[in-house]
Amino acid sequence: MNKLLFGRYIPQDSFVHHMDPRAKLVLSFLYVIVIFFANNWWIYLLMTVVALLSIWASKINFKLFVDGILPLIWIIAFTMLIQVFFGTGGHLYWQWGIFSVTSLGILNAAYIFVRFTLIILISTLLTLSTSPIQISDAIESLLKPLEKVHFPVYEVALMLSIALRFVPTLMDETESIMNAQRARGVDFGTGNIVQRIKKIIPILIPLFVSAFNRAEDLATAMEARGYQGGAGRTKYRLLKWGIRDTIATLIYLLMTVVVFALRFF
Amino acid sequence: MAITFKSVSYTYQPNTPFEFHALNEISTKIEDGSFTALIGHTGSGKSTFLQHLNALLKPTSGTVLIEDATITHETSNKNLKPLRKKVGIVFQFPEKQLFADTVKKDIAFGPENFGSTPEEAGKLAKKMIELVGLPVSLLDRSPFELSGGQMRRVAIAGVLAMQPNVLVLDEPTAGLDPSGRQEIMHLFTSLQQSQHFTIVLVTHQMEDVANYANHVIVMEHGKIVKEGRPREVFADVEWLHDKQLDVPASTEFAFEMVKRGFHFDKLPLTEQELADDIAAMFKRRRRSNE
Amino acid sequence: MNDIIKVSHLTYKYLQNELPALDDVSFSIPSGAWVAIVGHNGSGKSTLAHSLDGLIDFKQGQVFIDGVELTEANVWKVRSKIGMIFQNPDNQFVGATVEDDVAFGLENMAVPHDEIQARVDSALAQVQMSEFRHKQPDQLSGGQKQRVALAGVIAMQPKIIILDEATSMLDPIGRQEILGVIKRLRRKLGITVLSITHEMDETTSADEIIVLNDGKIIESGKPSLIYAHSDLLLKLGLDVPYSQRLKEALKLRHIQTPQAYSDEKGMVDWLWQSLLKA
Repeated sequence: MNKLLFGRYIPQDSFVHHMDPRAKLVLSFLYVIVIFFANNWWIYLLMTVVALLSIWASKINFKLFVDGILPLIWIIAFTMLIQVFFGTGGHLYWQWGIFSVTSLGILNAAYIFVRFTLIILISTLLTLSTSPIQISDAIESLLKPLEKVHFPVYEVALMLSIALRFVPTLMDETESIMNAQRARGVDFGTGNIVQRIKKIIPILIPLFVSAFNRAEDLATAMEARGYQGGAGRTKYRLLKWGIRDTIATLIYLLMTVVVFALRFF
Repeated sequence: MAITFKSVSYTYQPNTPFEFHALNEISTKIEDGSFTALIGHTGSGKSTFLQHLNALLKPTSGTVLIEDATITHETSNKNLKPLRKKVGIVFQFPEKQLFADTVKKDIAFGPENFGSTPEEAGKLAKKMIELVGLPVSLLDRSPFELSGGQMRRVAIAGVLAMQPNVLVLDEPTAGLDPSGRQEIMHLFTSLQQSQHFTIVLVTHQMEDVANYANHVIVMEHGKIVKEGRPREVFADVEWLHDKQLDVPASTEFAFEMVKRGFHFDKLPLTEQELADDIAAMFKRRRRSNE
Repeated sequence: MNDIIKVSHLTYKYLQNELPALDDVSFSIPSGAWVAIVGHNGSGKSTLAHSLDGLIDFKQGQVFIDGVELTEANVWKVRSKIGMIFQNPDNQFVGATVEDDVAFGLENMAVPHDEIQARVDSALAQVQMSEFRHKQPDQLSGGQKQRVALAGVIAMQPKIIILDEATSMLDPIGRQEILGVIKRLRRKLGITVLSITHEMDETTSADEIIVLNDGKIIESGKPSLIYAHSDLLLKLGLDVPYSQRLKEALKLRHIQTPQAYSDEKGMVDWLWQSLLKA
């Protein structure tokens, strides 16, 4: 049973789920880049609306997005505090040595909070609505031009997809090895740092041994099924650009244009 | 040492979309010195049940009593470690837990975690490797150089070295060939007789259940659906077939005979019982012919 | 030239071992047959299976698959005639989802996309896994994963299926599922099946059993012939089928039993004849 919730694919029948993963990947990137140009509340408002609209179109429960933000709340809080105490400009409220609280510092902290939250929302949307294999397909397709410079795009994509496919298997394995060692008296939660590191060895070694055995078996199985490297293979999965992708792209481009207009004019 | 379950429920990942109720209001008692067999399909909740026997999991609701220690949802993790010494679990494919650079260190790992000195643990390792029927000369070898069957025995020795009172076996013969299976089961029954273990065995081998167990628990969808002595549980062949569970080959054979008009006072569980019954039938036939 | 598999004087030794894993093994299998190779763990049966598919580089002996000699030059040609299912359900699942895994071999064979689609559909239907096509391996049981592996193999339309202890890590239901699918495929496609196992009860549907021990063929013949040699099977660390065990137990109780091997049904018939028939 794996307990990792953050970033896990939730199958749904929705606008976002049916989009081409390449579109989702590129638009998510675009969103993250554009948000760094935001410098006033109008832009943030617009981008929040776009993010919420995208989430709504994915039919995924909003609570899961909140769960995605919570583990990162300390990092956000820390970055905000730095802004509040070290930011300068605007009206000065308080000062002590190098620390100062200014109106601009507070404003920047608020911006950072919103910016962080939106970035997490949009990247969570990508991972919740796109299965790992689709993401790896998208990366493969987007990296395709690199084949011209002899970059082994296909092999890298296959490695990525096999690695992703074995994540749950190895997580289960880790848990069962941990259980076996706990049953032999290992107490993972206690001890100082050296003791804690020592306790990892009885997990890591069996995990490595098993991963190597699996890799060997898998290589044999792939060979038996005629795998001779990427050259000359056909593809079962084809990525198709659809009307949804065009619509989403237009919305995001419009957003980009408006953001730039609000920022520079 | 007895272990008692009082309406124990367990839920994985509660309040998430992946929520899963693995155990549902389980109540039963593993009697001291008993040999309990746990049967049911993959996903019936057997492994979750096992992990409550030594408090690897704490019930979401209900109580587990391990001898006189009470485990509930609120029990602090600090108090659990001593229980794990009393209840040893041999997990499925236990050779996967081997990690040390020598067999000796691996077997000694458990005892050392529970406070034995390296000397004591080393002595235990020597004793245990003999107990599981491997030569002492293997102690200084790397466990990863051994054959699959030997690795499994080393892993079992590592659990026995904690000197538990209860031995929990999760399909200990899975993947072994017939003679390997027999040797391992022999090992456990002779251990039970010599060391007075309480044994809990999860298995799909109904022959083993018929031959060794005196208490059977049948699980389905996180619930106990039948419980009793092997003869009681296996008496209802049709019910077990209905659940897609096997019955011992002798019981199955006798059941086929019943369909053809034979009569048994009680369905036999083992080959010897069935052969006795059939021999008696031949005797009667001969007598009535004379 | 009816033998689809022909092995002559095959010998192979692992570097770290003193004794050969396969010692002068010769046999042949007629097209369309089901042959079971039995032996305890370490008897050399898996090495044999791997050699047939060119997964082990043997130096002595010859292997002919469907008339083609297995050499370095035509190993891929030979592999295209053989589909192998291995022991561990997880470690042969390459694709991220069921359909991807079934398609993997077809992609390797450079089958055009539309045909892949059709073959994946029909292969999944044959192993009754169509409704699982979008599932990921961690959402499947061991038996289901092995059925997917079988689908991956039959999609490639091989002439031979080799089951290398394909059921040994499965629970009874999973085992029955796999054996059921194999029986159905044989009826439908007339495929040759070579199953490597230590479970005697999985050999009852075979046409022939080959008993392997220490890399040598000890005996081969029809199941009924092999099963009757219970002393030999026990000596080799194998199981004796139940009806034969019961017969031995009855002999010990001085009951005259029929000489020839019979399965459970045959035994019940015999008991009925001798005890209940008026």
